[in-house]
Amino acid sequence: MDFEFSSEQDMLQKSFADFLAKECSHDLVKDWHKDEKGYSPAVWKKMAGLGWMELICDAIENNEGTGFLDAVILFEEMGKALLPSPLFTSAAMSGSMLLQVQDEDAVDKDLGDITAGKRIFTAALVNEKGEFDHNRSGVSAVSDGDGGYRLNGTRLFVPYADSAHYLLVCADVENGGPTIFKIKTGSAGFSIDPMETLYPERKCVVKLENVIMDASGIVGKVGRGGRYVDAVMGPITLLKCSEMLGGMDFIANTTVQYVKERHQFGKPLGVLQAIQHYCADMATLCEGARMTVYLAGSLINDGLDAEKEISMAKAWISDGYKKCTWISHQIHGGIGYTEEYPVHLYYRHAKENELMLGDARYHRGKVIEHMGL
Amino acid sequence: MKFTLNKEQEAFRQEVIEFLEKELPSVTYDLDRYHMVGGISQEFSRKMAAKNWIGLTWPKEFGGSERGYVDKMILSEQLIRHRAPTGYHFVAERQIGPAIIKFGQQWQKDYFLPRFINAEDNISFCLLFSEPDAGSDLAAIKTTAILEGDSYVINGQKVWSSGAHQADYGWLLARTNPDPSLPGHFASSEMMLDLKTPGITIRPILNIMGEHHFNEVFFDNVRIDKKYLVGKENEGFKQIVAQLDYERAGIERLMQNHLVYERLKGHIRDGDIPAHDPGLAYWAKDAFARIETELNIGRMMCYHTAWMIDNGKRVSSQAALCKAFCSQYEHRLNDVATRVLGASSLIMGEENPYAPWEGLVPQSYLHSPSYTLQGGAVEILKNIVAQRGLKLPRA
Repeated sequence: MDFEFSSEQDMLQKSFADFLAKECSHDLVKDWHKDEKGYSPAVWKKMAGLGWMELICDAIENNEGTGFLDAVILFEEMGKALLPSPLFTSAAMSGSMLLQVQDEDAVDKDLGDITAGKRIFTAALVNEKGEFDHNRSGVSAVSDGDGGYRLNGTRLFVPYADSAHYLLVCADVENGGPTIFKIKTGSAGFSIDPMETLYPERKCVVKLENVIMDASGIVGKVGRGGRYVDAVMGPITLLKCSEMLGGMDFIANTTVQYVKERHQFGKPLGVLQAIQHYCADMATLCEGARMTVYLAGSLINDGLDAEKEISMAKAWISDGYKKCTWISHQIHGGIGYTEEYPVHLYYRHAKENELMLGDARYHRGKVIEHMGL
Repeated sequence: MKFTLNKEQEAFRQEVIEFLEKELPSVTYDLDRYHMVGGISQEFSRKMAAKNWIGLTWPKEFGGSERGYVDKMILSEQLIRHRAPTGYHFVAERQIGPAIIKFGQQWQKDYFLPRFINAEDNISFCLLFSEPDAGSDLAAIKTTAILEGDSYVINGQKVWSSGAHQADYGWLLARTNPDPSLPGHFASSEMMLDLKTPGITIRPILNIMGEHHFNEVFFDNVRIDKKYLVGKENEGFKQIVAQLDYERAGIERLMQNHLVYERLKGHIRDGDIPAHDPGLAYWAKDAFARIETELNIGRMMCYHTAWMIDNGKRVSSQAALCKAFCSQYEHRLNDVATRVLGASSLIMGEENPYAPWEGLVPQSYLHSPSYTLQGGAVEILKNIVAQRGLKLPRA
């Protein structure tokens, strides 16, 4: 057992943190939220130059048996800074789905484009009802009799669809089952509308109306799409948990700093026991989050089954991150409720991600399932 | 970073499991207390001693194995999972031995440590810390031990002394400097004493279940040789604070009710939930998944704390956070068990045919309020996390 980052991991973490401190202030985050693209292509290029997309794909592939935690550390830092970018959808979600395909030649070029940051991929996994469950696919693929397919359906919450070059979607092939298609954005019949949600990182509604795809647009094999999505859901969820852990850690630390500096009744707020207990509660929620994320990450590193532990992590963090932001708002009082102050960014980030990739209740159900109960 | 056991640790875990599966069936001990850590069997303790598993973390010069606290955690976890009776040597090993090693005089080391390590006769200790006016505020103790010639003369009263009526020795914190203007932090000392010394009166305090576990202990001009002083005079409070971290770092607080967890899991797995109440079936699983998550987190917190000790890090805040979390988990576990079982869970008595799980649940539920108090109330522990961990200012 070793509960500390290795010196290499420490250096990696520092390099992520230094870059984000330099490139990503809260003011910039808010500007990017209002920007027409929703992120900074210039920063994206630098991230690619630092090899972040490649690091994520390598981590997910985990051939060395040690790399997955590197991606955990990266997303933790992303969560602290809240840098808006297609990193999660392109490198983590899309990259991991492509990595499921056994025929490497077929996906090599796409993976190369993703890891170089040259092309942005996005994954469309949420149906019209806002559900993640791919088996209730709202996208149909009907054979056109010529070896091709006609795709119809709507996907919600598609991250950065308006900046993406390609979209991965799991469609129900007539007589063939769930199948992943890679669609060039802007194809005929493909329409995109930005979505306004509680957390203003860019996401879109994508409508497919008679989009014509030939067989070369199929990723992997017909009928395997469900399995691909199932296989990536765990690691993807854990990386999302890592991002949430970062957000939680940041808001807890920021709040502790605030109670040391803010004076009322002639004393720092932090001398009050009610405030101290709030802070201890946040520390406990954060420590619990670290335990679950790093436990699941260690199991993945060891090549062991981590599905139950991943669900425990998402269950704990979905509730815990949110509670930390409630406490933070309560402690900050009026100033925390202003547009200018960053607390609301985390309050929003916590709520939106609580409900993404399955909320706490959903994952508690998964825990029970994995225990065979 | 690696949150899983390495090969050697896994092999040790297997060795412990094999030992317990082989040795436990032949040991007899008081089953009434089977849901507690405190089952007492000198026979079993001697079997552990033969494996060198008492004093696992102690230095070799004192007969220990100089292994780390992570190994100790692996051992403790399996002892608890198997409900092994470790009560005979528990306090001596966890609290008294390490304190003697750290602060004790040479004769104390020579005399006591081999006896502890080998689970010999008369090694049972009780703690004499709390007083009627010194609970969470331990520094407020008033019991005095005044040096007269070569003896300390002890006067005062202690309270909540677990097992004092059965113990051979007491481990006392008393004011050695009676000057009331001096805070107790700088005026108290640790010492040990034979509980048969004249002038000691022990009276039972029955807990909410009517069990005799706690005692009041009165000292009326009790005279002990000054050689029983442990460590330095007037530094006892500092010494105890260091010891408390170790007390709080145990996995006992998380898993003392593990049988309730096991029974609850079995109950849900076997579908022993009335079909006419689908809400209960759903709720029970949801609540159990929370329990499972908290158990896993608590377990990792315990191992994390042990690892910090092994790596020479300060653990006060971590151990306090861990203990606060784990004790609240146990209380919730017992509450969930009552709600899943419904009204039947109220029925007491091992033999009662209407009582599910041999009446285990109401007992556990009645024990629960003590968990979040003993060894530092949750509120005190949160203060430690805030002040020592997060560096918030003291009032």
